[in-house]
Amino acid sequence: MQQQQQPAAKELHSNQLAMQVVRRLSKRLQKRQQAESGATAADLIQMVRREAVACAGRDPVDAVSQNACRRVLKILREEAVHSLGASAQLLSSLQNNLFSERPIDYSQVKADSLRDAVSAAIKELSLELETSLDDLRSHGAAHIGENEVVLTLGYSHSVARVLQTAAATRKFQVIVCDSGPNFSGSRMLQLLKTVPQIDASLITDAHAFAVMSRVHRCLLSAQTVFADGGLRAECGTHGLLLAAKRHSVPVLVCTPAHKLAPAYHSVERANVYLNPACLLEENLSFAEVHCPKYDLVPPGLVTLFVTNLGGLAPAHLHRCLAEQYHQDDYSIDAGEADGDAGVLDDE
Amino acid sequence: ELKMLPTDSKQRSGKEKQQKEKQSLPASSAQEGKSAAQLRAERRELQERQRAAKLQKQQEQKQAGGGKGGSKTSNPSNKAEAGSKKSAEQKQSAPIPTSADKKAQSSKLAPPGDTHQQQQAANKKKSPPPQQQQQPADSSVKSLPSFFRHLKPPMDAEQITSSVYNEQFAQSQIEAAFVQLSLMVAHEQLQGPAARCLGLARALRQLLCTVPVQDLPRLIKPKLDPNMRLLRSAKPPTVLESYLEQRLANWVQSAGSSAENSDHWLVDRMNEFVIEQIEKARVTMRASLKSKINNLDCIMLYKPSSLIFECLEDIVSEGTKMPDVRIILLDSPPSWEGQAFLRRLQGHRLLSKCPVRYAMLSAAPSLLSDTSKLVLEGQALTANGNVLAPVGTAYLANVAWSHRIPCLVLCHACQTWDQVLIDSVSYNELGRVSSDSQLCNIQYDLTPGDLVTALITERGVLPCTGSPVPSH
Repeated sequence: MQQQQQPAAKELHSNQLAMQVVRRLSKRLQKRQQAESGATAADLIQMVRREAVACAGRDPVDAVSQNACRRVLKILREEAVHSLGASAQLLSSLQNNLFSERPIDYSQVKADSLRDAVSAAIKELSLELETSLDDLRSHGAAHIGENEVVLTLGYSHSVARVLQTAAATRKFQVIVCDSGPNFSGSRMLQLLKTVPQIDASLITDAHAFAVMSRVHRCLLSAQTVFADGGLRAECGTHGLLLAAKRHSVPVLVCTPAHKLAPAYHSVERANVYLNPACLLEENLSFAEVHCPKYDLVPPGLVTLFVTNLGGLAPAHLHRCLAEQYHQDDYSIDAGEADGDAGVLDDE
Repeated sequence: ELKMLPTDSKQRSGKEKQQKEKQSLPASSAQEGKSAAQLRAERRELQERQRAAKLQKQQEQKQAGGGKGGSKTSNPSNKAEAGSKKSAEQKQSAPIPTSADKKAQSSKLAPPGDTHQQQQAANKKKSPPPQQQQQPADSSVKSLPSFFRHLKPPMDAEQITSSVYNEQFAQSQIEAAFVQLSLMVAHEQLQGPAARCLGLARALRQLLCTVPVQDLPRLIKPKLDPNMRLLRSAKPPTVLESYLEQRLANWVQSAGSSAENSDHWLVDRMNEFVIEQIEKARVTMRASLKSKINNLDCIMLYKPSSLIFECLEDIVSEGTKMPDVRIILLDSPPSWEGQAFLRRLQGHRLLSKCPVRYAMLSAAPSLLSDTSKLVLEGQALTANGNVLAPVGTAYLANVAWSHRIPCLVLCHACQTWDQVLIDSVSYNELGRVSSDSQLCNIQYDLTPGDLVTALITERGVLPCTGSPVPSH
């Protein structure tokens, strides 16, 4: 009764989702370039921005699709600047942005000239997304030592990979927290029990404070990482992180870099509320049931973000953001949606 | 057989080495200058060393098996040796106990971590209950975190009845009331800090009725001991229960001559205790709690017992003075006490005045912006000012502290404990879970005193550092 019935939909990992979006965008870009001979870079950028808005409209909680759009936008903008020549490149450098009066005019750049460079860059991006989880696990495994007790919450693909990689060379204990209303902990436990060097056990998250004095590391994952270091993560993460802070236990959040969103946790309040029937039976429904799927965790509780690009301190998230996305794409407003915004092309 | 394996593999690897040496012999002997005879001698030495090691291991096992049993004559010890060797091999694969094995198992070195079972086995020399030893020691089914392995797993009804048989075999009588109480305690049917104490008082009353008044001081201890042993084997005693026991012993000691005492003086004393320390205390605590709750408050509750329910009823019956109090009820598996509370509320007039919100414990941080205060119940107050409470309380108190929400803990004054605890691991109880569940369920956790804003006792509202010492 208490287990939530997951619909049997195809479960995509975040990098697969991002790759889908990138593939879709690259096809549309190619189409556009072939169809319109007079298309400029500005048109392409506008098209991708509209797609990002559409993604947000479909699922407000999903930041990965939007981030994938932002990566493609960065590629477009970079290649456009590159083709405009050296003077434009100088203009777009960080220092000059403060003093420049003329923004870069993307409508000067013809789409045809970008075609090869952009498709090569998009291929690289797809490769990076595909291998992101593999890169991540080697960075994460380094932080787990022999005979240490690691605490984790629920089921996460990234964390499972990291633990398996670490278990290849050393023996340690894992305590899995099972938190409602998702109850994905037993799935993680089943997976970890098949790993020979891991001694896995399952507790509810009510026990998190009780065991925390014996825990060496907290290894978690997040659905989204915000630019200020806040997280949107599985429900129960916030309480666990507070307990870890109290006991000074280092908290490692394993997320691939495409989950890093240029938004602030105090502004982004989107959350998913689950069906109360997963918790309560019918005749007790006089009570108002509060059943969020995610926790919005404020910044200041995470020690290290383990990404496929390496370990990242919370104070350096902005640098990773600046490398991944263009500053102009940080905020994509819903007001830009028009025309072919909601159209989902063939995959 | 598993224990034989390491030596077997050693032998095998030794033989392989020797075979390799043999193969390389013709090539290298000339160069190394060793004769074939020398090499053969080396091989023989290696084999004999391995044989000696194997023999030593077996002897160690025998010694351990013989030593644990205490005083034994040569014949049983031989049996034990034979049994221990067999059981060493069979134990790894869920043994079916034969009579020899049973005896040997009672004295066999248990696998590390089962120290409590060892002690129990040593205690019950006469007839070790076979079911207890058969608890699967293999961790493939469910494993506890290593730091909880010193905790005793919860007892079953069969185990309790077998302990009853053991005691009766040793010719001591067990009251039916105590058996019933032990069963209820073992199956966790008594919730709330005072419930077990009241149950104990009831069982004691029945016991005392069977003892004639004149013989009371003399007979009470031998009568009481086996019953208390049974009860304690079901679960370790709560603070209130130990307090009641202590008081009982004191009353009996200070009884004086039996002539001036009425017929049921001990039962009267006990009833007085129950009324004073538990029932009147509850009334006082309810009043204190009510005084702390203001209009428009939103109270967060976790594992509330009847005490809080009665307090809420008081508040609601107040009428116009407190029109708007809301409740947030938190819950956690596997005991789901929040849902039990909801069932109690169903159809109750409380609901018309007091809207209830229900959530899982993990959703607590998101609800704290709405909350005015958190009300919890404590099991015991340790001597160093920490609160032992049902598991999840510390988690919640920590979350509330980070959000600056006051945390009130309800606690009887006589729930003060002389034990000193700094974390939830050294003292705890394993709770009961359904057989198909993989959960490791602990009963208590320790809330550090600085996370608790105020302790509401019947003697006043105190900080955790100001724990009262019960007078004797």
